[in-house]
Amino acid sequence: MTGCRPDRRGLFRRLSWRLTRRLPGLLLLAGAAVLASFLASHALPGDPVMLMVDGRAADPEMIRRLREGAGLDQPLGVQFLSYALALLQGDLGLSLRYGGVPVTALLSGALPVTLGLMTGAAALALPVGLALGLAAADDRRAWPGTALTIGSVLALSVPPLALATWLMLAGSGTAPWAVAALALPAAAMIARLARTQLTEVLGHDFIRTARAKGLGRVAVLLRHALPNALVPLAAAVGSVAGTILTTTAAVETVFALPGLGRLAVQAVLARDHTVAGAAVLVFVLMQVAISLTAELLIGLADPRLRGDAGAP
Amino acid sequence: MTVTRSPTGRAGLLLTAALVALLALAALLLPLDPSAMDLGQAWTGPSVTHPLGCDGLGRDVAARLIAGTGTSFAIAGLALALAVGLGVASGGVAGWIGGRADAVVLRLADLLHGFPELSLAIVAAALLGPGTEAMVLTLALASWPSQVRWCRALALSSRTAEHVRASAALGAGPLHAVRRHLLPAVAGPVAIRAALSIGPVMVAEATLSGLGLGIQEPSVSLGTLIRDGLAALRDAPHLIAATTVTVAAIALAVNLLAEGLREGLDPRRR
Repeated sequence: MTGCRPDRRGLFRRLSWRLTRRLPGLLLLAGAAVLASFLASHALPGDPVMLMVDGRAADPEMIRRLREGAGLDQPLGVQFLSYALALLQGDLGLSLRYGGVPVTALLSGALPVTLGLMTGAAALALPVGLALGLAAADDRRAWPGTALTIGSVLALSVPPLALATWLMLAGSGTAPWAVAALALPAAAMIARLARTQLTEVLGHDFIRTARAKGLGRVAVLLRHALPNALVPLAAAVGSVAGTILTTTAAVETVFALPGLGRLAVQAVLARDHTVAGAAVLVFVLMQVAISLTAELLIGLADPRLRGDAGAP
Repeated sequence: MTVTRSPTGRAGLLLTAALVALLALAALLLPLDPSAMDLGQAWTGPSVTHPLGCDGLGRDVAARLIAGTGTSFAIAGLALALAVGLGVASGGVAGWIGGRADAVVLRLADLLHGFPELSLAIVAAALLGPGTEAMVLTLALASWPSQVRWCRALALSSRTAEHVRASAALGAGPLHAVRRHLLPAVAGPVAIRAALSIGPVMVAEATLSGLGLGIQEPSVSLGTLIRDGLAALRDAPHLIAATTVTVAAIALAVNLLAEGLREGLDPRRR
């Protein structure tokens, strides 16, 4: 990495330009997510008012008043508008199961658990996955590649619920084991993606140039191949974010961690429609957050963005 | 054979053969009714008549696993067929016609790609009620975006290929081109890609149904069996052990075969 120093101001401008370019798509996605969330919480079998009165034969006058109070006598279009407006003010309604508790309170209580789990798993899975991918991209011998392929296929074939159960039974059911249950499949995914991207980059002419000028194998891999493989890798990590969310829900359920995934699953099972609808929106936002974080973090390492000499 | 070119593919073939042999043996020796109850046998562990034991209602776990595997395969296959059908239609139109149709289809695929499986599963369960239809719809919608992009790229390269332009120059109409050039060019790669993803789709079904968001009792799938096993974790750990090992073995066999096929088809590795 000789030559010009990275220009920090230019870097910021280029990164923010990349985000701005994605803004229309993100806004559209946000709109669709709000609509999906509204559909999940309103247009469904079962009447929320009957749920509120617990199915007892209640006074028809009371049911009418409850329905008016909740705005359920309005046309769906009007209900959607008021849902979206309330959402903009940070109001997601009240949970049907825990009478009177705001949905936002439930969500903000569960968010730190999920974030902690995911951060721990990412801190474990990113370095391990990258290291394994680098080791397997070594093209002098075949066995590291084959070992990684079989190992990662194995890790991704075990359904997350099964893996989490095994780890919980093997360990003591404490938090580190939950983190491991999430990190293992994530590391396998990252290692596979990293190896694919590295093999791709290693075929380029600038790698041959680097080798020809006498650089060692490790230096070629770390300085030239890895930085150029990171950007497509970030995009690929974004595309598996959905699977990571499902795995998180599975791990939280098995380990009985009070996170977002478990909250959502229990809300669906208990027909707590307001919470389930909010969860639809939250998971979309989390997926966007994961892919944007991956893009930003790894984008910082992109030689083309930094104007480094390592660029092709 | 393409699959046997790599050690991964050979391992997959071996494991698949072993599983099929086990299944044949089970079909010959065991009762195969997954819902036949024998309360006297409730929670019993492995024995000669019930090699994997029985669940809380005295139902044979091995028979339930065989039935559940069938359901899960059928659901994954149906979802992928749906995704491929929609993908070929919309991706073909996008790549072949281009312009505004292309922009709309791509935007739609991007939009759907932004929804994680969990969100799709919750919305589908809310709109259709949790069950088989909701599960198939969820899995199909989750794999549609990648099918569309793939079909679109194939259609795009097929439209601009020399032989297609030559046939158009000779006076062939658009219908002829679609039937004789586009569909044959798209069909093979798309079918292979769909077959490769059946393992991950089965794992997704097992996870979502296992959480209770998918297939419901009395239907049996690998996911509902995991759910039953989790509920009986303390009473009968053999239930979850047998189920999870089987699910993992099946997914491993399918995924190894797919990986072997992928490696065998990759021109860089020949």
